[in-house]
Amino acid sequence: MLAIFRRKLIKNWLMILGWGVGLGFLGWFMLDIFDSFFEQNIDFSQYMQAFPEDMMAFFGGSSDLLSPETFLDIEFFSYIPVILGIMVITNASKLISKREEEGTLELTLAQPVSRSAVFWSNLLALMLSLVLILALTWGGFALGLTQETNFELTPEQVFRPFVSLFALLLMFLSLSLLLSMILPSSGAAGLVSAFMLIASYFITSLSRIEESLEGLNHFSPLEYYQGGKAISGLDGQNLMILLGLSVLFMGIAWLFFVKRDLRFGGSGGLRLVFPKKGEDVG
Amino acid sequence: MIEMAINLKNIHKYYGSVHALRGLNLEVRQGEIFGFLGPNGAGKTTTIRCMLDLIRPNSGSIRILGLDPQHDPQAVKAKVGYLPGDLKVEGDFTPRDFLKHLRRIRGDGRPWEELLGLAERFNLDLDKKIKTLSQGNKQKVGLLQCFISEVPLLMLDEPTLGLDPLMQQEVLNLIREEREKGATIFFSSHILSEVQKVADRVGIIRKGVLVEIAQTDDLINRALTRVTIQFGVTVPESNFDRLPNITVLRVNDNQHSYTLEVTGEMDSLIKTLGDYPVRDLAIHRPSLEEVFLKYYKDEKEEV
Repeated sequence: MLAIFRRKLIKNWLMILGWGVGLGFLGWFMLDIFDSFFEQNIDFSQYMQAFPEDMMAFFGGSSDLLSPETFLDIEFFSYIPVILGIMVITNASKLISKREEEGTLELTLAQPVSRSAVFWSNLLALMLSLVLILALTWGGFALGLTQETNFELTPEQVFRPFVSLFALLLMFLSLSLLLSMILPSSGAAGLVSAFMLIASYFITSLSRIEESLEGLNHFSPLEYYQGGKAISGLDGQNLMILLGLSVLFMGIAWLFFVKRDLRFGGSGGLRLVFPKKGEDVG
Repeated sequence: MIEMAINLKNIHKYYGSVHALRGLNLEVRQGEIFGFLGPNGAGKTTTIRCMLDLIRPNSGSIRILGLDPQHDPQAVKAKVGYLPGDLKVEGDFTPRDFLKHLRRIRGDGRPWEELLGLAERFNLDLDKKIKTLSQGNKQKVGLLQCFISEVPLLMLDEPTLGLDPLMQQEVLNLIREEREKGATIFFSSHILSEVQKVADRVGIIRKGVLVEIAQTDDLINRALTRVTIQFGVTVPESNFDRLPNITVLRVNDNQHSYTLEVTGEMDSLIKTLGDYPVRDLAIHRPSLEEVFLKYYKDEKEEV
């Protein structure tokens, strides 16, 4: 199990470094931008009020960009779930299924290792990769906060939205993994998961200006993501909903992988795993 | 009673509506080299994958070295070295890293020096990325990984695929050596001459059913033998028509020359020949390929 975990982590190192260091720099840079806004003392409230009310609501509702919490919420934590979400979805949908499609999983599973070990060691390596990316990103902010800045937040406060972000990304990771076990290919799973992420983003954003979407918004994972608002305190219930869904999806995905046939391109396996109606399965 | 290395009973496997294995029964004895033959799509690879719990049969029972792969897959796989027919390895590995990786997964193995010796025997560069290797060299990597551990059972799906004739010979030698050490070798191949060279027994699978299983020599001997006889005098055809197991295929040279097909024993033919002066006699025994093609031809005729 450790060998598979190690191998997966080594394969991910470039991704971890690229995303983590890149976003870490962005975080560090965000504090500089905030400082320059702050020092110029721009009256953002007047500037923001020029925007239509609906548009402001879409982006979170607050116009006080000189508050570190609002600044981070709008300028970083509002869009980062979509960007990192696509990365996570792509990786999770390929985690097992792509290796099945390529045929490289066959030889691994022919070794004396259980399917559960293959599943969990790959999944844990991907989860750890995500944690490291987020840690490096947070590290960029934390490093910036050690310098003299008008950004009056502690590294611990900035850490909180990352917890909420992790829970959301983990939910999409596990959803994408589950879909890759059910849908005909990793590509299809990635596409459907990405569509659900984008749809969730728009439903949650639009529900702030369109009341009729509020009901639907309860089913949108982004509704349970706090973004920059978590700086003032994490909502345990929202966190548990996202983590609970993640565990549920992972568990179902694991069951599918353990119970079903390994799929081989050309052997009729790359289709929905559910039997078709009226299909003779012996 | 000898415990079978492989024991399959009434295996059925469906891929959706495709009935890939239709009540397959197969027994492979410990310590033998067993050649598994069949045309493409006959169910060879499906059978092997069922035995390794990569896919699960819809019904039937499988025992590998006395173990049930569905209940104890890891124990089965610990005792099996497997070469897939369509070998795919992550290309960013070098063969050296790949073998080390699999050794770590297996948790045991032959001494590393032995594996290096095998790599040398296969003339394989262990330090090039696998994605840059030729098909034949990739196949060598696949073969090498079968020998990471000393296992009692080797399942090799087309082991000589993509190899040059010298290497093919080397692989056959290795198979024989492993048998000498007590291992059982179950292998499928399209190159029937090599199956004939090494296999103690062969099984022929057709449309998911085992249609023949026999000692390789028996299978060939049991098949039709063609005899061409040149007589010094005219011999009436009626001499052969009345003989059991004999079919006259051709009569040439004004009844001086005959081509006959003999099924089974030749005793009656030889006694008949004793009555005439025989100038020349040629017996042609079919190769395994011809035997196999007979089954294949029968299948086409049925269609």
